[in-house]
Amino acid sequence: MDENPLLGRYRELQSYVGWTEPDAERIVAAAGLLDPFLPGLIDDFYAVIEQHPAARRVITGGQVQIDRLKGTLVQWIRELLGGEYDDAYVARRWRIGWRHVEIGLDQVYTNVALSRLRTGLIQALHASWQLDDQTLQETARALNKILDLDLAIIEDAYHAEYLARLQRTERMAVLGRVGGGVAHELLNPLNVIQTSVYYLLNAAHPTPEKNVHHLKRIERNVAVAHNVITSLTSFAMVPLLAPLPIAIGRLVRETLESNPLGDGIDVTVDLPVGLPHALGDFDQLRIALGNLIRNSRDAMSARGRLVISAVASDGVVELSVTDTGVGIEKSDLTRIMEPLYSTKVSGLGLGLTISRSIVEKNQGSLRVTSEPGRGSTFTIRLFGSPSEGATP
Amino acid sequence: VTVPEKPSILVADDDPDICANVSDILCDLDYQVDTALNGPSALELVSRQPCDVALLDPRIPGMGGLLPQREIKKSGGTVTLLATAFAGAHTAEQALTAGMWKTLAKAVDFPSLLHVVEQAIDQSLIRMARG
Repeated sequence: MDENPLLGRYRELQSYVGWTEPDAERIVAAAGLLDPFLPGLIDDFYAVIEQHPAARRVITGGQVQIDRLKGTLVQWIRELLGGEYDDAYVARRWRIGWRHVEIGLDQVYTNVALSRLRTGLIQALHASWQLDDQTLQETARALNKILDLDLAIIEDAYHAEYLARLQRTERMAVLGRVGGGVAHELLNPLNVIQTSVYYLLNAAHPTPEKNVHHLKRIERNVAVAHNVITSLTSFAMVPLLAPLPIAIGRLVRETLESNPLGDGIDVTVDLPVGLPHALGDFDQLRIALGNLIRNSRDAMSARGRLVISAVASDGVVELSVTDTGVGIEKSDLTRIMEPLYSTKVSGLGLGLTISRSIVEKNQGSLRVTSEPGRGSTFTIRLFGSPSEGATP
Repeated sequence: VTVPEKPSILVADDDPDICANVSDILCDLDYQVDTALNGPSALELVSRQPCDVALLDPRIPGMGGLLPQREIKKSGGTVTLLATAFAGAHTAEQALTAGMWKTLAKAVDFPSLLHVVEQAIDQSLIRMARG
């Protein structure tokens, strides 16, 4: 950890609490008075920990560890009263917060332990004070400030480290889910390719037609495997977009051509005459729309009706894909756009995440309404192109 | 005098390409092959015409765990094999408890799969002979 940014952070906090050089001087002047009280305060500190199981459970090394920790605590308080608040001082405070995450000691116990220590130090100050009341009050204020600053920097470190650990854990979990999903999605096409190759190499009575069938099957399943990889890479990196006026009619036509729906599904495209162009990146939006169309196809199994329609108003173009499929349960509705969430038997669970990500990068939005058992409507909302009013 | 019929095999998998490929390979080896894409049609096929061996993927739609395997077994001298990409120890044990003859990893290499199919056919023939 680079110490300079930490020291900068500490200076910022010092200025926030109104820390001054005289504060440091008052603390140094009082250090000698407080020192004889430290053993008593530290015994109290650990006696309280003993009474609280959640705090005690982090001490796994028994009396030997407690004795060592008591030594560390004395050193910490002496540094606190030492007047040298430099980068090494701040780094040691930072390390306390970091260490607390490592051993699983909740920050709340640092807060209450410091509160107790604060009470003890202020009491000790009053008990041993020989000078005027005003200086006593100023010294007590300085002591409170330095304790608050220590608490702030320890808590800062705690949160930073806690967050970093959480992110590491989440990354590992995502890696596991993606890995499992990819394995599952690639296994089927690979099995098909493997068995087709087996037939081509080993069949005793192959016919020319069968051979062609198997080669085509291999070709198709290579494309399936390729798509799995493509959707992963397009999820990992939606490239920067070039928003240009897009003819919605052409977008719908080309997307339908590359995503055939099968004979049992009746397709209606309903675009009003004079529909303005939308603003967006054509190729990316074709991917987004393609995912919606394929989802609709999967939701309808072999039979159903797909309606693609659009409306324009107030400088906005809305393109809707409506199917008569199985619909989406209410409990799934809020989650379907999350990465790796899928209600299908097969699928990575990235399609809608990619679609939404693309639409949002085009300054638009993607929303869904659905009725289980009746069907779903996905609507892409984009800005209309101000200059281009055109036929679909 | 009866002419011995070709040994019959039922292949059930939700991927039509897998069904077609396994069917082509087994037909080429002179087996009689039926395919089913889901549990109910697998059951229907077996109830019409008992098969010697069934190759099942327990994850196909409508399988309801290992229920079809039990139904298929009730129908007569059928030996069933479980082929699954996820034949973990637990699934395999459940399957064997349910009377399944063997479990296979789905990505099994074909020569050993064919060897197991041959063994299964023999089992089926022995059972039929015992009546």
